Amino acid sequence: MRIGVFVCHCGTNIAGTVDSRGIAARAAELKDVVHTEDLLYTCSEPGQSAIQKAIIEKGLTRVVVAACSPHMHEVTFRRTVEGAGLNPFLFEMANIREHCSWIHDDYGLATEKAYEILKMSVAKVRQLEALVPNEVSVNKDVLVIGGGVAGIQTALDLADAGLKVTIVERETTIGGTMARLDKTFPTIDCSACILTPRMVDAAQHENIEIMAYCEVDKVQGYVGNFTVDIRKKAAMVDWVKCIGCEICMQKCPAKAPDVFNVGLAETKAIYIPFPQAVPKRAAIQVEHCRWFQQGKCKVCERVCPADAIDYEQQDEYVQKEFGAIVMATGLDVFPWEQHYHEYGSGNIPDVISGLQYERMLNASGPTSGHVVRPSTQGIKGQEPEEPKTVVFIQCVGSRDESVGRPYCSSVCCMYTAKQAILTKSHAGMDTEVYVFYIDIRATGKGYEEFVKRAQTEFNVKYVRGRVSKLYEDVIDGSRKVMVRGVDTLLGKQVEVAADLVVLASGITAADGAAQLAQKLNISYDEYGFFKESHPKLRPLETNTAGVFLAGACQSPKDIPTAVAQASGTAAKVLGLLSRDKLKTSPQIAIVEQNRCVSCWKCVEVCPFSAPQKQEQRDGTYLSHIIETVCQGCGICVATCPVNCITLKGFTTDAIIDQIEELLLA
Amino acid sequence: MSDRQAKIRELAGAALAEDRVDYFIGWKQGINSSEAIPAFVRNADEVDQLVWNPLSHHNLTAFLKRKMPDPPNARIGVCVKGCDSRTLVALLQEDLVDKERIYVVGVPCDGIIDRRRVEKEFADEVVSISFSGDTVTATTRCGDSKDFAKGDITFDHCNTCRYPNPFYADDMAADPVPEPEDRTPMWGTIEEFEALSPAEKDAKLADAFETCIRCFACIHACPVCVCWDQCVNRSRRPALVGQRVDTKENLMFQMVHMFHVAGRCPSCGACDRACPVEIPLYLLHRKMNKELYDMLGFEPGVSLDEKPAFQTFKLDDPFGEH
Repeated sequence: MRIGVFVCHCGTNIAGTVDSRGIAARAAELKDVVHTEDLLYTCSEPGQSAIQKAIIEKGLTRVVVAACSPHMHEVTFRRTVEGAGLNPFLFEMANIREHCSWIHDDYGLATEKAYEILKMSVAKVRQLEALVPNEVSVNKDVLVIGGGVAGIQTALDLADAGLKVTIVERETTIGGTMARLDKTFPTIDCSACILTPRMVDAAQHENIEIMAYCEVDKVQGYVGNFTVDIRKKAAMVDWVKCIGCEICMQKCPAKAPDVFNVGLAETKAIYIPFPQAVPKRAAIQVEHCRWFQQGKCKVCERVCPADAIDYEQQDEYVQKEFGAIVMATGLDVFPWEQHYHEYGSGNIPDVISGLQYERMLNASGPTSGHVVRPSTQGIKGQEPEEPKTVVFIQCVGSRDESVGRPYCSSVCCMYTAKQAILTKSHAGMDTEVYVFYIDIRATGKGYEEFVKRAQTEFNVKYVRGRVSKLYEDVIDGSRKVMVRGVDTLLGKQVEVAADLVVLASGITAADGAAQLAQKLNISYDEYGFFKESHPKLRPLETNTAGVFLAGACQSPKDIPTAVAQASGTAAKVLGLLSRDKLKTSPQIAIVEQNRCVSCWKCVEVCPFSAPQKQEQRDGTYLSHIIETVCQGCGICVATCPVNCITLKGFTTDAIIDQIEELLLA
Repeated sequence: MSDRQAKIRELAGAALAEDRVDYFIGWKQGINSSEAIPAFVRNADEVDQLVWNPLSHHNLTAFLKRKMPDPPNARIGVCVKGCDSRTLVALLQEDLVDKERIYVVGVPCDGIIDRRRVEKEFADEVVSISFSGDTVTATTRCGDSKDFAKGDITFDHCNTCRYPNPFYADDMAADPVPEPEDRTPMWGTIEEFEALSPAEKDAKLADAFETCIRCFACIHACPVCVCWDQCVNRSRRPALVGQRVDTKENLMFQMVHMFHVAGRCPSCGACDRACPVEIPLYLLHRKMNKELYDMLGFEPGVSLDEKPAFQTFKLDDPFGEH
């Protein structure tokens, strides 16, 4: 055995705290080490060439690189050693950066620790065996979960490239959050004019199947070969027959809260969320339907010209196979009512969220685009009152640790500027508009100019400071919402008597995102946003091979960013599925069957269902791990009480040798 | 008590006569009436050897997992007390026992006696134990005799038992006995143990585990411990547990057992009773059960629909808070 050791300086990242040259020289004493070298940047072209040169000239059979985390460059160096003719799994990485130089400042002690880490890696590399990847065939169909603008974009890009795409959307229509927006910044062009043709494109595309009012129930399998159970929720309407004529909706006598219009209006128990819905199909909200709740009515059945109503409909389950899955589950608005009691907890009618205001501004919204005070709506013989003073409050549910949301929702500064401008154009230029802000974050193309226009052209008054309290008061006989805050630039308290207050409520992960992530074995953060594999190296991939991210399910994003990312994700999926066969990692678990005691703990804990109960000739059963399904996570190895499962490349012997090298040598 | 014994014989006899089971596992008298031992009955006319009395302590479900594959289609009858039924439920939760191939006779239990406490009262060998109401009479080879109140010599675990009636049984040998209304576990000695300082705990554990001779009796008596000859505690390569018999290695040996049965062990006490050197193994197993109960509200072996705590993950599991 001939081991080569390469120690990286990583500029001063490592060499600033660790004597890279010194430990490289000391490593020459270790058993089987025949070549040592320290390199300024091992991952650079000269660094990689040096490794390849040494492998060829010194006949190295094992290679250790002491540098950064394997998460960063293990794949890089595997390719390097493979390029010089060595099996890529006869390589081991010692992490002396993240695990050592970055976290210590004592040069002498850090150097000692780095050498110990390196010694352990040399001990492990001796135990490694050459591994050869397996190949599996690939299903080329793609599942997109979520039919918002990001999901639609990914689906269209993939479908145009010739792949079959299924969009699963849990609402009755695709469109997502963007379908509820009135205008988009910074161009103030109509949101629906951009989105609805894309929705129609998706619906009409020969390669796209839209499964609306469906949810992903269960996901099994692995990259290239996922099996997904999809639950088709009972709409109580036969969607094959329904023609979307809305007659049922007009005649239905039962009112229901209008979720699409964020509670600003009422809809009917049988409903189509908005006129441009795709698919345009009706569904009954059972909890509000008179037939289901009181056992009489059936008006919709009588008026339906297509005979589509089916009160007996049940949820249906379908199973489909996919090669890749794109998560595009989007966002929800932060539930500010539950957290901001100082803003009235939702009990002051003239305090509304940004999304509610968006619906109010929309021509097909509940007020047909008129800006009104909600408190004056629905009073007999009285026209709703138009507000004279409108106050916007930014960062409600963003950048606020007191409500557990330290992050910036990234879109609120811009949508507030947009809504401020639209207020002037809808309610008149003489309307007083204030924006309370912490900082203005306008980093996109044309964004800063847009905010400047709001301030100068439209005379929107920006006040830098937080609002501490909102309360109702009557001033000169008219009801006002008192906005008490601080102007930190002037250093004094301010109070504004407003007719309408719009809270720039932040973005949170879609309801149920964490539960869905569990079904797919992907990581998510404490807020429910899905985690990318690496923020810079693999921003569109998750840590589960074959599962990708698009849009705001990953982090708050505006429309241009979400769409750009969605197209990027489509490119990633195409890259994956352009091959007919996929190489699977050979670092997988294997059962030593003659020691298996059939306790089935591996079967129980495996997130991928890789271990199976395999019938033996004598009729008994033993555990058997399906190679192509195993992802090499190692949970079964740790769980197996008799230690009869081995993870190739991480054998117990190798780990014991590492520990012994540290403790005994 | 004799009613239950008669009913066990009747149910076992019927199952064998009707060929519903290939054999039936119950208890019979040991070398004399001072002990009961497991019995394998294969013919209906042999059921009269079966006994039920407060000496019937063996947890017979310990035989099930190892008997399942051999022969692969055998149908087995088995008698279970309340605690035994919890280990049976744990085995069923993990699909280690084929539900279709077992016939379970449940015996409501009034508590079993700790024979060791009786033995300690005599210098001579106890050769007979008889029961009359709540009085237990023990007689030695020399003819010395002494009466005990049953409550004074009940096995420790039975004093804190909250589930005296079997959870899972095809037929019952009697109507259920009254159950405690308050099902909150009583941890007793564990709380005393937890109150000790680290040094005192160390000393107590050292004292308790020093005498272990690694006879594996605890492990073989344990119904949910299923690795047997492949036990990592015996593994020489890799040598994961030291084979040296000293306090630390002994404790590690028992810790491995504790973790392997964590979430599956209902503290039936079979290990304690099997230990020839009287190590208080419940210290470990009850402590683990207490942790599981405090942290996850989980009790082993009380629901067929559940999986053992360490084999599942729920979103609201409070990890990181303890």
